[in-house]
Amino acid sequence: MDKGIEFSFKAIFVSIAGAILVMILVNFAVQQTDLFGRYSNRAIVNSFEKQLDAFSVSSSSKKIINLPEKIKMRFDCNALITEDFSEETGRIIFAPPEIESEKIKAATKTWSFPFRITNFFYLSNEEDVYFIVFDAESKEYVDSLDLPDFKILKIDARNFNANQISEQAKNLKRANLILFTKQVNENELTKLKNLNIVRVNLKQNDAMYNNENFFFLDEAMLIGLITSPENYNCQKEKAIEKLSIISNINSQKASYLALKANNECKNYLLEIKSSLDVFRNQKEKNSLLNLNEKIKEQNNNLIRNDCQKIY
Amino acid sequence: MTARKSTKGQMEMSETTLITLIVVIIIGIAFFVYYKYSSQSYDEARERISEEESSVLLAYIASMPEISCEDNCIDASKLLAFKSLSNSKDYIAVFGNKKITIEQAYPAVNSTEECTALKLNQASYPGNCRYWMLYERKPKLFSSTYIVSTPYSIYYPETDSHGIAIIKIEVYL
Repeated sequence: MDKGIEFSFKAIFVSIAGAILVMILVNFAVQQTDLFGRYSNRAIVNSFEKQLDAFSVSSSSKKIINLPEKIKMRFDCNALITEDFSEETGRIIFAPPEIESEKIKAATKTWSFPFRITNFFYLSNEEDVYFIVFDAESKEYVDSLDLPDFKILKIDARNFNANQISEQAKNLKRANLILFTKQVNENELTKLKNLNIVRVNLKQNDAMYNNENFFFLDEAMLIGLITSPENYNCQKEKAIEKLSIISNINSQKASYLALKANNECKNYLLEIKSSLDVFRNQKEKNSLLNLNEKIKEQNNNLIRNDCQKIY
Repeated sequence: MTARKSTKGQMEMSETTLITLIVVIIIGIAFFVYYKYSSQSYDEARERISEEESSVLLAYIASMPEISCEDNCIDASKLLAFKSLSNSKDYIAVFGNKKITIEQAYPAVNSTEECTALKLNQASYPGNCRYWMLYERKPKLFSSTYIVSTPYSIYYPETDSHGIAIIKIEVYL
């Protein structure tokens, strides 16, 4: 009887001690797995950002970004987000809301308005398709667009067939339809429920997506709208914010140069400084477009008169 | 008879406890060694990633529209203007805990002072100062620092002349 009690007591003691040890080991293993997961996601995002930075040194370039492993990455307005890691970014990235791949199609283009402001990045899933519909009036412009090497299908409005596009886009996660024409029947478009439809008005420099109107200032911005209508507005606002920063720097540069310039050049420099000061506070399309032309002209004036140019 | 049994039981109990204690100590030592090894390898990985980032950053800084010319050089007249903006949230996210300076290397200057708006107003500028402090964010606690640098062409619009500057990044780890 005593032996029996002794054995039961030992068994209980060993079971409890064993269970505690197993719990410690399991907890440790879970922590390690979690830590390695986070470390791995962080390393992938860092590798991705480094590739973007290295890429941005070029004024215009296209490439496929290879990541160490397949990852689901979300592109918020100001951040790159993975499952358990988020990294803030000031870069202007026109991308789908989500990319899940180890290969990302990418392109970059310097945005100058009128001086160099930043690099735009355009990203796409490998399988995303972009349908661009044009008419006789917009054909020349569409043909001249320097588009990234994404899957782009250009369609003449006369040959537009919603059923055919719907069929092509049926198995795709994401497809964009960009209309550079008004010749497409609106009833036809209702058949294309899963596509992002963007209607571009080249004369007005604006476009409509999801019943909202957005403006674009030039081709580089328009390409952003074509590739990423979902987060275009936010990226456009970041771009205009950057325009404001560079205008401010150029305005200060004009002041510094005016300090040591002769009277004639000083006047030209102060003129352009005053335009830059207005420019950096503008957010409205027409004012930005007009001031862009004015600053170009004022900079040319500086060059023509042998003064120091701003850009 | 009962007392002997009790003593035997107590001994066996002590043995079990001792063995459990030894096992726990061995596991504890194993954890300690593992953590020590992991933390060392994390530190090494952090340093390696940081060095790679800094090298990319060197190329990136030289090409930033904020300070560069249109034709692959640094525009000296933009450096002072940029300094007044570089401590904003956006640039802190890009640069992190670093000190970034641009130092004139050629033509050589005798001065060791920083280039400021006051220096710029003087006739002897840019020969009256050595470097521009573009950005500095020093953490309260850091374990080590290292410097990466590269030479780059610099343009002085006031005198319409070019020189060579060193872009220097001091990284706080």
